[in-house]
Amino acid sequence: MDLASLKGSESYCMLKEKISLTQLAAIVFNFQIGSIIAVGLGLKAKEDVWIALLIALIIGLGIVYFFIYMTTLAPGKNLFEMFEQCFNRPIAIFLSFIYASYFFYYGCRIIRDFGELIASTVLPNTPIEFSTLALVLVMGYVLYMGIEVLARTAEIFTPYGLVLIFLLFIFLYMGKNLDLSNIKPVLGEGFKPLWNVIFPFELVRPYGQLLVLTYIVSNVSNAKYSKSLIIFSVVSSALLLIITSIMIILALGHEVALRSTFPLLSAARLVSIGDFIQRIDAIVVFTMTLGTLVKGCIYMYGGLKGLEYIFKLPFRYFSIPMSCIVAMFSIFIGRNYTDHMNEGLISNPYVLHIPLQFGFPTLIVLILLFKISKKQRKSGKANQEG
Amino acid sequence: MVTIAYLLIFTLMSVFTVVLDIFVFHDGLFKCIRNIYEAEVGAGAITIVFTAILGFVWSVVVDIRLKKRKKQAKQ
Repeated sequence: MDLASLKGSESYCMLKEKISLTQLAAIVFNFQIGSIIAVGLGLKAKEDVWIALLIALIIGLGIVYFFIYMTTLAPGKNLFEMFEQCFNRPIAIFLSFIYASYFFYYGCRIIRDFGELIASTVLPNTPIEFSTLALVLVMGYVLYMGIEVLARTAEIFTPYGLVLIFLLFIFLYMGKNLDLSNIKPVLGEGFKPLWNVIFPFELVRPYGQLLVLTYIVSNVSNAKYSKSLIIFSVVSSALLLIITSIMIILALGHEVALRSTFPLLSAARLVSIGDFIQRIDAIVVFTMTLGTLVKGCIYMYGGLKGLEYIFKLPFRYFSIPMSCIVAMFSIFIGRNYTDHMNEGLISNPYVLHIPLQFGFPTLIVLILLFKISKKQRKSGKANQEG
Repeated sequence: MVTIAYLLIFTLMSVFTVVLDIFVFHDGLFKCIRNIYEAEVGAGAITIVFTAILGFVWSVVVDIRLKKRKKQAKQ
């Protein structure tokens, strides 16, 4: 039966989706970059931003290994099915609701970042509600078509994004906008300020956010080879983020970088080569749009998978209504950009990220390990008796 | 089911937003609820109302189509 004849029927909606390893790599890479690339990572560490980010990368790799290990404990199952394996269905439904809302909420935050960027740079006269609604409806349509479409989109656009961002770095260097004295002195205030930056901010994003792997890896066609590829993607995206943060500090200095709403954009505006190559902020907007599209879609996909598990209906049915909710709440979550940033830095890490990214997953892993060892003991006893 | 999901997620997202506002700004519950609808960026914007209606109508239509399909399958 071909796709055209299946279209519109229930079986079309229930088709098992499969993504390739390169598509997984592209998704993880873009997810890691997301909207962070324009906002900047670890800038509060000032001159020592690169040291803080390298330490965070080393710890973050441990976190990524933990999430990969979690997926190997229940092969082929996503996060919500793991809940059922650990507890019973009513508890799993309750937890799925919490996580679905969390994923939608975080999708809203990503979209809001994008909306603010567009409203402050490219389309200053267009209401933020309109630009976010336009993007979110596209995302809803992408999700309606399935994660395969998202994966292909990420696979196609990633090389363009990479080339453009490296071009930006080259232009910044050629335009003599980089001042090496901006990253001196090294460890001038010791290690203590670095720890305050790393825990928990630089660990929950972007490494703790890789909790999303628990519902993406189950779609990968060669899941057994995915581990090294995920690690490769995480390391390469983290290195890109580290280079970006260093470039921001080198170009702007930590004081201006900390005050700027979108530091990479401010750095891009410095580029002026021979009074000819100027106003290349479109590069930053393109990279952030791609990152936002992938990251927002992945978060929304998580929420939709949760609803699919709860209501036993294909997630496609929920995609457009939930996109509307995400578009609405991307405005409601903060009265203005300052509120939005305050919530992201003050409340989210402690109220949401630490319990939902680390607390519950650790509990799930412990319960899964206990259940597996119990099963193995039982089968061992049965073999001995047999 | 889709309409129920829409309303439930709408409610849960409102709860999330209000709880986080209370945590950050140490305001009372009702003030935080009011704050949601006093957002500077979205105040009075018809786009928000349109989005809410679009989402709700879409979910109702999906539910009606699902119900029709179930009936057809039974016949």
